[in-house]
Amino acid sequence: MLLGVKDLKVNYKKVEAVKGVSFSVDEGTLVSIIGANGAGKSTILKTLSGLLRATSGEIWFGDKRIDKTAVDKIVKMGIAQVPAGRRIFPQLSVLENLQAGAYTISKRSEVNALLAEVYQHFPRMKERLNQRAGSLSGGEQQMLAIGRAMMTKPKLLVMDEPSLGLSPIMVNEIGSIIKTMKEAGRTILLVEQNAKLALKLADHTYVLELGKVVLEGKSEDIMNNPIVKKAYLGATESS
Amino acid sequence: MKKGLCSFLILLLAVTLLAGLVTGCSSSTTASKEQVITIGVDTPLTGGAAPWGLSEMHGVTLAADDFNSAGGLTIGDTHYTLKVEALDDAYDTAKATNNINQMAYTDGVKFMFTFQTEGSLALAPTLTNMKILNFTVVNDDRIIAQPADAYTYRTYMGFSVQANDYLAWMKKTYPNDKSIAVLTTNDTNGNVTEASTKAAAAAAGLTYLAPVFYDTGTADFSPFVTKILNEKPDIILTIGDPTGDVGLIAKTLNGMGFKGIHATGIVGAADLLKIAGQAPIEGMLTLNMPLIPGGQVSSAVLGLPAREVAHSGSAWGTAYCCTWDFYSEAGIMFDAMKQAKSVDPTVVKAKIDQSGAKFNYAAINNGIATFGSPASNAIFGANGGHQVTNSWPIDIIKNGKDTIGTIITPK
Amino acid sequence: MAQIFQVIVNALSLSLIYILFATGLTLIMGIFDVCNFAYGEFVMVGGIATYLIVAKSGLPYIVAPFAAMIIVSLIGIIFEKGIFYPMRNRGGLEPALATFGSSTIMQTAVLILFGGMPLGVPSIMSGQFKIGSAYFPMDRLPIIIGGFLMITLLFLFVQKTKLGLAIRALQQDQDAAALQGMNIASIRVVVWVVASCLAAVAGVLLSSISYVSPTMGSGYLLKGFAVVIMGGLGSIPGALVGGFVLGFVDSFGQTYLGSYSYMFAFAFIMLVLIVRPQGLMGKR
Repeated sequence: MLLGVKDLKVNYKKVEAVKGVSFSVDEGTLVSIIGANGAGKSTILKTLSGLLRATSGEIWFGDKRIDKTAVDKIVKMGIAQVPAGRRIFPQLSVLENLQAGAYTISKRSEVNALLAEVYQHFPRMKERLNQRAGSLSGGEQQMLAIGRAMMTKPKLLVMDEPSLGLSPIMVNEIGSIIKTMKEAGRTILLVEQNAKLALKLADHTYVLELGKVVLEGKSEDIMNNPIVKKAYLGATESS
Repeated sequence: MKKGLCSFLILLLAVTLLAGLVTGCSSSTTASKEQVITIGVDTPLTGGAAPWGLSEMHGVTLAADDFNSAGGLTIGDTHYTLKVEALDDAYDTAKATNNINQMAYTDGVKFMFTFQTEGSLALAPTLTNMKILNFTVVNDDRIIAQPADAYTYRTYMGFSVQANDYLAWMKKTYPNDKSIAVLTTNDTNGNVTEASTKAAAAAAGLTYLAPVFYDTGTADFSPFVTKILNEKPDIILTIGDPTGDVGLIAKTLNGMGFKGIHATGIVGAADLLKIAGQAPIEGMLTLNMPLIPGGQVSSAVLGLPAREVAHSGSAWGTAYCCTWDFYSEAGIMFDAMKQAKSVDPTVVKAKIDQSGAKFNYAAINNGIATFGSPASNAIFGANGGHQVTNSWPIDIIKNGKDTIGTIITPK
Repeated sequence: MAQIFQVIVNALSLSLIYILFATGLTLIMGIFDVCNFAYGEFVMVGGIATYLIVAKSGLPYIVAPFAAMIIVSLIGIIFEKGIFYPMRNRGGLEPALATFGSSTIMQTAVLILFGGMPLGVPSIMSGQFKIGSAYFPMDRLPIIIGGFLMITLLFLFVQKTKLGLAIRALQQDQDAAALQGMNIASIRVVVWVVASCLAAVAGVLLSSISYVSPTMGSGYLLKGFAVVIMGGLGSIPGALVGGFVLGFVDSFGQTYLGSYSYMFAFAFIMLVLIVRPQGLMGKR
């Protein structure tokens, strides 16, 4: 088990947004957490990265407990986040954004190797290295955000709503990129409102409602769960 | 995190209170036969005009010390001594107004010295109403154009009174210099300098060139100096400008190759030297009294620098340029109290207004100060009596030091 | 019109004075989104250090900037740890007010320690240089060289180093910067040290052409803010352009309009901001 979250409770803006959530991510797997807006997904991720503090519960990364660890230390330990809304640095160039991702890596050769890996996944980034990141399209910005996270040399890649605000074509493209990354052996925690996309990609899925895990299991089992079908995949059934 | 702000605000309060303690706390001891009279001084103790203000604080305090050590004043069974309370106005109208109000209304001061032009002008009627005797050094002649019963007197030879003699002396001493231009502050003080110089230039036969005004707080005088040099004046007059400004102007004039005469007001060579260095101030004319033994300079003012340095207190330990001037002015007020045998401002004022009254002017051996003179009466008419008349020096800076050019004794 | 050349020479050195003052100010305002009203006092402390080292102790001028940088940096770190970091999530007003109070405290402290007299500091260079009909006072040369040197160093630091990249990232998105493994607290300290060093050198150079007094910094502050806002908040090239524009407007205004120049300068800034609300070099 690479990541283990036990009975996590978090307050966000004085409201208990996460009410005792447990989940785990094994090495080499893609785990997803799905849920509607306000279910507590982003709060969990903010706590995971150290930007928010848990009121109780434990977070373990490998054999280390990290729920009191500083944000930058967590990144150095190997958890990278692709934040919701991408949060790229709009005034920096594409290359500078990627270099910012490699902030904790001091060896130049290592940075170059990571850059090469990113270019391999996102050839489009290589064409736009000197372009201001803010001028990229939404999909390209998402790619850059993922690339930037890859630059931290993570053991676990956490993605917060990568499909948000993208066109259906772009959603498919991002989906296939995530799939490739998983096939390359990366460990990924995917948090999505787009249940269809998440269930298609993930090995294991947790369903989050109002700060609690209401359902968990293998993705194909969840996909066939009638409640999930009705609540989260309803649109696909009717079409 | 609220605690952080709180403790910060408390610290802020503490420091502000502490600052108040340092600059001016007053307490009066009342014994049955001992009475302390507070002499209020509102003057710039900080900023570019601080050399004047600190001089004023030193001069008035030392004059009060001398008054006390000479036995003070005994009237009936009460023995009066003087105590000086000086407030800083930073040469700022709002602060000056506030200080004068505070001294008049809160501290009950009956004898006052003020410095700042607009504040003194604004509050002159108030001081008259409250019967508070005020000696001021405001250059603006409107300070004299008060009702005849006004309690404010100018105890410094305002530039309008000095201008004729100053320019006539320049014309006589430097016959090759034929034109004059004024570089001064963009305020009432500067307007007086301009008007007085214009009239005096005509009287002395000097060509009067367009004046240049600058904003107070200017740090780089190059543009203004460029402008004035473009008129090619032989003499540049910066009278009334604060010491800091005069120093920077001297430096800039030197930097731009000005070879004429730079004439200014009561500014000390030692202060200019620190700001501008020696070369830029060489040959400058000032109205400062060179404290060198011999001639007409009194031993009383010759001893002042050593007393300033020896004095204890945070604003002391340094000798200032014009302490002699304020010491002498305060001496006029204290002499008037002695002559009137009274600490009632109304009675002291009556003594000053008395025709033919003469007061000790400490800077000059056997120096005399009178209120009103043919010259000041010619300018101010019925109000001439609110203008002091005494001898005054013209100083030439040589090798970075003040030297006497002449001492002018008005008729 | 022979003087026009002189006015341009004046404008150049005046511009560099403004630029020298504005760069550190824009760095702090751009990154922390907060006005530092005590920045003038940072510059003043640099001037005090110069007075103590050069005028009082007679040490060579070159010692002054280094001593000033150390002293002012310490003050900068105290500001960060005492005011800005604890108040970082409370908007702009509270820390701005705190710096306003600190400015008064620093002025008062210097007043108590050194008195209110202008403290003279010798010029680094003296004499003048004649170019055609115009005079160039040599004491401005260190301002111009120092100013350009500092701008260049700052530009290289911010644009070409990893720490500079982190500072720019921090400026745009603090949380996202943290998620790249950047230690926000220590990078903030770096920003303060850099801004403090700029203020210290500005203090050394400005006092060399003028004099030192408790209020010397507050006189420049208004013009400093004007340059920063006109150039674009947080933009270093903006401070450069803004400084030149204000320097030229001021120099020409003061020479040809005299005492109306203040009004003219600020009216010009208003005009700039109406046409380009984000400032000359600012980005939306």
